[in-house]
Parts: sequence; C-alpha cells; structure tokens
Amino acid sequence: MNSQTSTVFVVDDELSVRKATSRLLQAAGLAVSAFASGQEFLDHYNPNSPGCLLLDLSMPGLSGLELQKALIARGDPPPIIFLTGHADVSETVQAMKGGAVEFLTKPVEDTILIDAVMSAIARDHIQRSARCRLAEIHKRLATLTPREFQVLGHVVAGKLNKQTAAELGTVEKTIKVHRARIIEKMQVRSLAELVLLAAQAGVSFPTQK
Amino acid sequence: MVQILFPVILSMLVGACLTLALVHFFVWLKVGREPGTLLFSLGASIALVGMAYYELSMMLATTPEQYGTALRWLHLPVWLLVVALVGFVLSHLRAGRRWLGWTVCGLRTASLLPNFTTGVNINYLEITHLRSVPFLGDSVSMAEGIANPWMFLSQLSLVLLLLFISDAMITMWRRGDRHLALMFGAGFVSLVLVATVQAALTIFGLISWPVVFSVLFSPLVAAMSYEVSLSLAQSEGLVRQLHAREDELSRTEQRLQLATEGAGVGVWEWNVESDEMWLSEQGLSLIGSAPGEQINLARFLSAVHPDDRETLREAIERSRKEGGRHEREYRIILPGGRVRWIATRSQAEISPSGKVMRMRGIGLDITERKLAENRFQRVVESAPYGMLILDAKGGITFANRQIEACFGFSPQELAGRSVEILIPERIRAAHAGNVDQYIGDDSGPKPMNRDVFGLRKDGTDVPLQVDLCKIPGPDGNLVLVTVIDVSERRQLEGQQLRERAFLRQIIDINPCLIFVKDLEGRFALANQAVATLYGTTPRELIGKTDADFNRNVDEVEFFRRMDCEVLSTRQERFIAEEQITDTEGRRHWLQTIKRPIEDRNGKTSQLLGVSTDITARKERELQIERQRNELAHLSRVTMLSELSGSLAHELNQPLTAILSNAQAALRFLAQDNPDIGEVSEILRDIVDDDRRAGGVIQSLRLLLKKGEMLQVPLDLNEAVRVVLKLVRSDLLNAEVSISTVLAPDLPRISGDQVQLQQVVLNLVVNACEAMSGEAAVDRQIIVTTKVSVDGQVQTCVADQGRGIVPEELERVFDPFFTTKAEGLGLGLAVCRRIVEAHDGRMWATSNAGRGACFCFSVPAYSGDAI
Repeated sequence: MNSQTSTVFVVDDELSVRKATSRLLQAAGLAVSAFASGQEFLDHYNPNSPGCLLLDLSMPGLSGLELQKALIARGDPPPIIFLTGHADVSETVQAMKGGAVEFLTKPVEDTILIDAVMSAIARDHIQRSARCRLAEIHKRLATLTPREFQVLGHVVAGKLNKQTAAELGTVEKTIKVHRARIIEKMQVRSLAELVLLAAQAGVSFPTQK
Repeated sequence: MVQILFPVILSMLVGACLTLALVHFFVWLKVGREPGTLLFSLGASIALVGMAYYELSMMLATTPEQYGTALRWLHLPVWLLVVALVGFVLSHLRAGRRWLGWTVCGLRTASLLPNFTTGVNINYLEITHLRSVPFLGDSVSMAEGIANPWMFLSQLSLVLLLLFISDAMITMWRRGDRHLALMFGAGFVSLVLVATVQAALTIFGLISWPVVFSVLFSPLVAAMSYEVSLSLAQSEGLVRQLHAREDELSRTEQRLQLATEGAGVGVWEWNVESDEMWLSEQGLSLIGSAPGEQINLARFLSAVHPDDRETLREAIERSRKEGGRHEREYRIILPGGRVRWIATRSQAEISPSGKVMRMRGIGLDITERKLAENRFQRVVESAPYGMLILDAKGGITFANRQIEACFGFSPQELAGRSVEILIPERIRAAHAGNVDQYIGDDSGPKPMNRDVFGLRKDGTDVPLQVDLCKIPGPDGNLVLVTVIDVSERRQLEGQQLRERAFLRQIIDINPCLIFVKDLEGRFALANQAVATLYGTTPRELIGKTDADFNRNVDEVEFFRRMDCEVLSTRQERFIAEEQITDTEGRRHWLQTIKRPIEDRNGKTSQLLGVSTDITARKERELQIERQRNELAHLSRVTMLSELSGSLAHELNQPLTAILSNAQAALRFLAQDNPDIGEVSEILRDIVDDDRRAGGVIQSLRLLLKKGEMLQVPLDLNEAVRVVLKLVRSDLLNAEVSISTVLAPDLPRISGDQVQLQQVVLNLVVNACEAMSGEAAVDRQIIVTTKVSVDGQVQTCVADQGRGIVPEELERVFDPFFTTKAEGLGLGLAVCRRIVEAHDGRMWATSNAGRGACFCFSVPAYSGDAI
C-alpha cells in the first residue's frame, strides 16, 4: 500500500491495559507505539507518520476527548479509536463529532479491536493520499502569479476570455496567454481537469456582479 | 491603976501585930510570891498597930487638942487598913468589883483631905471638952463637940466598903469558896457594921464608948493572917510536891508539847470570869497571833472568818451557859488574808456552884482535811451522775445534788432515810435480798453494773444504770451507789432502732444492689435487690458468697478478683460493666462501685459495693449500635451505587487487560515458533490483573457487607489508599486531581476497616462533588494524615470548592442536611456517628482561601504504644 508502515499509537494511563493492548496488536502484526498520557503522545507524535490512535477516554491530565480536540486543532488528525470502560452517551456523541473512527467498550474482543484498527489504518491511508494530492494541487497553485490566479478564478467561474479580459481591463489575447500558462503550471491537459483541480483545492473565487 | 489594963491590951495587940507584920514581911522577902497578899497583910497589921496607938492616945488625952490630934492621925491607919482590905479581897480572894474597890479607896483618901485641912479633924469641927467615961473599969477620955459635916465622906466610904465586901463574898459563895466567904464576909460585915455604928453613935454622943476600932478589927487581921499563913503553909507543901512533880511534869509537858506541836494541836484555856485566854504557842500560831500576845474572847473572835463569827459567838455563849463538851469547826482569817480551818474541842470547867468557870480545849488545823472534803464534795457534786452512800442497813448517809435530778428528792430529804424509798415496790423484796447479799459478801470491793428501775418522788419509774462499790469502814461496809438516769439513753436506743429500721427500708427499697462483703467474700450486708436477683432473702445471704447462688463460674471469679483488688489496694474501684446471672439464668449488666471500708483499727476488712442494673441501658446501646451499623451499611450501599461507574471501571481495567493478554497469548501461540517467554510474561500479567480484580471485588464485598463493628488494629494510610483506588475512575471523570500527604510513621488505630474506609470514601466523594462547579484546573483534593498534638490520628480531606458558610459548619453533620439535589443527606451524619463510635470526633472547617476541609481524629491503638 504505502511505502511507510502504519503505526498504532496506544495511549492509556494504565500500564496493564496499555501493555496488554499493545501485545495483542503486535501479535496481530501491527506496529505499536504506546504512551502513558495524552501529553506524552503529543510530544512525540509526528503527523507525517501514518497510523491510527487507540485512545483511552478517561485519563488524568489530558483526557481522551481533550487530546482529540488538540489533534484536530493541529490539523490532519490521525483516525482515532476510543476505548472506554463505560459508554457515556454524551461522550460518545462528542467523540464521534470529533471524527472518531470507532468507540469501543472495554473489555474488547481481539477481532473487533483489530478490525477497527485495520479500518482506521485504511482510512488513514486514504486520508493521507487525499491530503497528498491536495498538497500537490496547492503546490501548483502556488506557482501561479496573482494575475494568473485572478484569471483562474474567472476560468473556473466559466467566464469567456472576452468577459474576463473586460473585467480585468486587459485584452483577450493576454488572457489566453495566462490561461495557457495556468494549464501548463497546473499540469492539466484540459480546462475541465483544471476546474476539477481547483474545486478539489477548494479555491473559491469572489463572485462578481 | 485601973487605967493600965486597956493600954496593956492594946500594947499586946500592937506587939502581936508587929510580930505578924515582921513575920509576913520576912516570909514575903524570902518567898517573893503573892506580893500583893503579903503587902496587904503587912499593911493591915501595921494599920492595926497605928490604930491601936492613936486610939490609946485619944483615951489618954487630957486636953481636947491632944484628943483632936490623935483622932486626926487615927484616920491614916484606918485609910491604910481599908486599902489593904480592898487589895486583899481583889488580889487574894479574886472577888469583888474592881471599880467599887477603887471607889472605896478613893473616898477614904478623899476623907483625909478635910481631916488635915478643916478644923481639928474630920469627925469634929470643934471639941468642946473632954469628959471622962468609965471603960472596962477604967476611966478614959472622950471628946464632946460639934460634929464635922465632912464626916459623911468617911461614913460613905465605909458603907461602900461594906457593899464591896458583900458583893465579893456573894461572888465567892457562888464560886464555891463558901467557907472563905462566910469567914470573911460575916467577919467583915459585922465588924464594919459594928465599927461604923459605934463610931457614929459615939461621935453624936449617944453612947459613951471610946473608939476601939483596932481591937474590933484585930480578929479580922488575924483571920487574914491565918488565911495567908495557911495558904502559905499549904503552898509550901505544895511547892515541895510541885518540885517533885515538876520534873516529871516538865518532861510530860515537853512530850505533850512535842506531841501537840507535832500534831499541830494548839492548847487553850479561857477564864470565863476574867475573860483571859491562854493559848499554847501552837495555839497562838493557829489563830495567827504573835507569841506572847494577850488574847481575850473579842480578840479571838476578831480573827474568826466573818461568816463563821456570829455562829461561833452564839455557840460559845451557849456552852458558857450550859457547859459540857463541844466540838466546833470554823475558819480563821490569817494576817495574810489566808483562810485556815480550825477544829476545836472544848470542855467546860464547872464550879461547885454549877457555874462555868473555865473552858479549855485543843485546836487543830483541819485546812487540809477541809480542802480534801471540799474536793471530795466538788468531785461528787460535779459528777454527772447521782451518788449515794449507804450504810450497812441501807440508810442513806450521803446524796449528791444530781440525785435530785434522778429521783426528785433533794439530798436533804434523803439524808438518813432508807434507800427503799427510791426503789419501786414491786422489786423492793428482790432488791433487799440483793443488797444484803452484796453487803454481806466480804470478799472485797467490787463494782457492779445493774440496769434497774428507780422510784421517783412523783411515784413514776425511772430506768437507771446503777453501779455499786463497797467501801470498807470501821462500822461495817458502806456502799457507794452511782446512779445514772438512762431514760434518755433508752429513748435514744429506741430512736436508733427506729432509724436503723428506716435506713434498712431505704436500702431495701433501692433498686441498686447494695452489699458489704468481708475478706472471704461473704456477705455481711445485702439488700433486697441482691436477694431478689439471687432468689433468696437478705437474711439468707449473710455469711454466704456469690458462689453459693451464682452458677456462672466466670462471673463469680471476676467478682472475687475485683473484691480482692479493692481490699488489697484499698482503692475505690469503678467497674463500668460487668455481668451477673440470676437464678433464672438471665444475665444482667451491672455498673458497680466497690469501696473499701475501714474498721475502727484502720484496717480494711470489708468492702461496700453498689451495683446499678444497666441491662436496659446496655440493650438500648446495643440496639443503637445495630441501628448505626445498619445506617452505615445503608449509607455505604447508597454511596457505592453512586460510585458504580467508577467501580465498574476499576473492575473493567484488569478484565480488559486480562482479555487482551489472553487473546494476544493465543495469537502468539498460533504463530510458528511461538515465543514462550513472551507468553509466560503475558500469563504473569494475567495473574496480576486477576488478583487486582479480585481485590476490588473483595473491597466491594466488604463495603457491601452488613456486619457488626469490629475493632482491629489498622493503618489509616492504607485505608486512604484503598479508597482512592476505588474512586480513581470517578475522580478522572470529574476531572478532579487528588494528592495525598500521608504521614510516614502513622500509628495504627483500633477500629473497623470498612466503616473507616466508608468515612474516607464519603469525604472524598463529597469533596469531589463540591467542586463540580469549578474550573477543571482548580479541582483539587488533598488528603492528609498526621498525628495531632494530642496524640490522636487525624485524617483530613480538603477541597477547593465553594466552601461552607460558618453557620452551617455544624449543620452539615445533621441528618438530612444536604446541598445536593439527589442526596439523602445522611452521609456526614453517619460518618460522624462512626467516628464517635471509635471514640473520635469529626469536624469541618472552611478553608481560608476556598473550599472546605473535613477532618476526623481517632485515638491511636494503645497496643502499639509500648
């Protein structure tokens, strides 16, 4: 799948549970990295390393939900599987809203846990490749001059060259040159492909009256 | 010739008189005694000589002048004769009134004055002529003339002399000297009468007799001389006898004096007539007079104590009249003011005429005896009981004043009466026998105590205690009877009996067990309550022990041990709780105080015990304890249900680890070449987790268990740790951080583990809830254990919550006080009861900054204190 191996980050304040869970995942052939607290995890976590987070909900210091919030705040959080002794509805809702992959109740069956972890890793994989593409698009967008970016906005909005030139106070020919440069810089073959990329990148253009 | 006869007679008379005078003079010179008598004899003889001479001169006078001169000088010897006579009567015969004698002498002397100053002589103013008259056949001259009126002086003196002598003779007659009285009285009176009459008749010329006084008086002088000579002769004879006996007498006298002085006896004699008193030296010193002092009755009486003086004077007067023997006792005031008691014994000497002439006797100093008597009197009078002295016949010889208080008879009334009047009639016969037997028994004095009845003057009986003591005396035994009126004592005894009965009632009515036990544990006293418990009577208990009634050996042994401890330490002992089994087998709880009782010698031989039956209270206490335990349990269950989430978590964690570990192990084993080391490690972890889970369940089971309070030594730090483990999950959920400051060497305490854990748990849970409204960072609980200053083990749980307002600091412990919507409000109330059941206390403070602090302290386990 990916050149980099995914790691399961286990965060649980209780050693025995942490140890047992790590063992089980390792037995399933997964790479495991265990942390005793949320803070410890935050200190060591590299967002570029793929994997998922197996998080105990109630912990001293940073609780599971707080860690989730912190990761979201950082952006591109890894997929999170919550483990909890007792399922509290409000907590479950909060966790799910935060994008939790799974909400598992202790004690947990190995198959369920491993399935959840595998799907989380898979999701991470997808998310990670999506994030890669978007980053590529943005990289290309970044090569555009501001004028070219203006022109791209008009193109995505479906304006004709003539209209664009009029609005930008230039001539049609210049617009055409910009368009050719944009297509080149964005490494697309067609205008339709360019519009798709721009939409993926979430480039929005100010609508003109 | 004829004229010679009378002069011859006169001359012979003169001669005879002179011879007598000379003889007496020489006798007087030689003997030197009775000077007055001799002198007067001499005077009388010489006077008679003078008289004879002058009378002869008168008879032979030839001229009136010669006659007158002779007559004048005749009065000189007459004067001498009168004086001699008076002196003789007074001094020798010891009779006659002295004043009368002196008057006679004075008048006679006075008559000499006109005799030698006026006219010729006292008889005649003028002798007109002499005439010759025949006298005894002779012719003698006789004067005729005018009588001198002064002559009445000499006549008066003669009349008075007559009276004087008559009086003296009467005295002598009465005194008993009758022959002397007759001889002298008759002689004197007749001679003086004759002489006086003859002189008067002659002078007035009625008869013609010459004055021949000398002849008339000569027999008298002879008689005087005879009397004197006789007495002289007698006295000479006596003197010889006297001399012979004088030595003996002086020896006797010396002995007597020695004896009298040695015995302090004074000898006295009182001449009643002359009022002269003679006292021996001892006698003088007895009445405080100087040796040689002249004493008469007045002087003697002046020394007598004023109180006794009149009585004594009357007594003396009486005995002077009546004579006889007398004994008297009176006081003398000595010059220093000291009082001396004197006893005198007197004997009157009675003249033949029956008149008391002298009184003599002896005097004794009886001051010591009187003082002793006085002391005896005072002792007897001040004795608090009546005293009687009875003679052998039962006659009362003495009674003191207290007798009157007993019997109503005064001592005077009783003196001389028989003791029978003091004895009630019904026991008189028996008493008489007793007295006879007692007095007759001569084995010596022995006091006897008798409780008898006496008869009072008013006829009522009086209970008496009578002591008899025999006093041997010269006239048979006397009995000293001591009498005590015991009616008050009897009354008192009756009162005491009633009071005892009353006290006994009080003791018996008391529901407490009251008893007295001796050294062997035998009951000396037990009240009705003890008897009822042991199913017997108080009387039956006396002399028996607990073992005789109580079949519970342990109880009996415990009682005995406590008794012995109290008796040996002599310390009061408070036994807060002990048990006793009654006859029906029921066990009672008692609270007992045992106190040692000191006997009269200060030894502890008994103990007093008072036991209160506290069975009902004890049951109530047990009931309360049961209720408290139930309530505590209820509170625990409620709390645990609140904590169920946390508890589930605590169980879940090890279960989770176990499951994961087990499944991991299975996977490892399923691999090719499984790592056995890894699997072993997993299995060890599984065992640990399983134990952990078991521990949680154990704790839970304990907390949920409904049981009685157990007192075991335990560590509060450990209790805190267990509790914190249970609530860890809840605290995490509530985002409460908890820190502990546990004293390292905390002493153990004695208590119930579960209940104390419950207290800590409750406090932690409360603290947690108190902070639910605070920001997460402020939610902190600090649990502290330490030893407080008073040595108690103290546990505090402090939070950072809202705190408690001061007025609610105490109210938080009230049941149903709560600030929570869902709480029952029993938690803290139960906690406080648990702590108090551990002899501890629980309180709350509000932190100076924020939050509250709940603490409890319990005593350290004394078993560790060694």
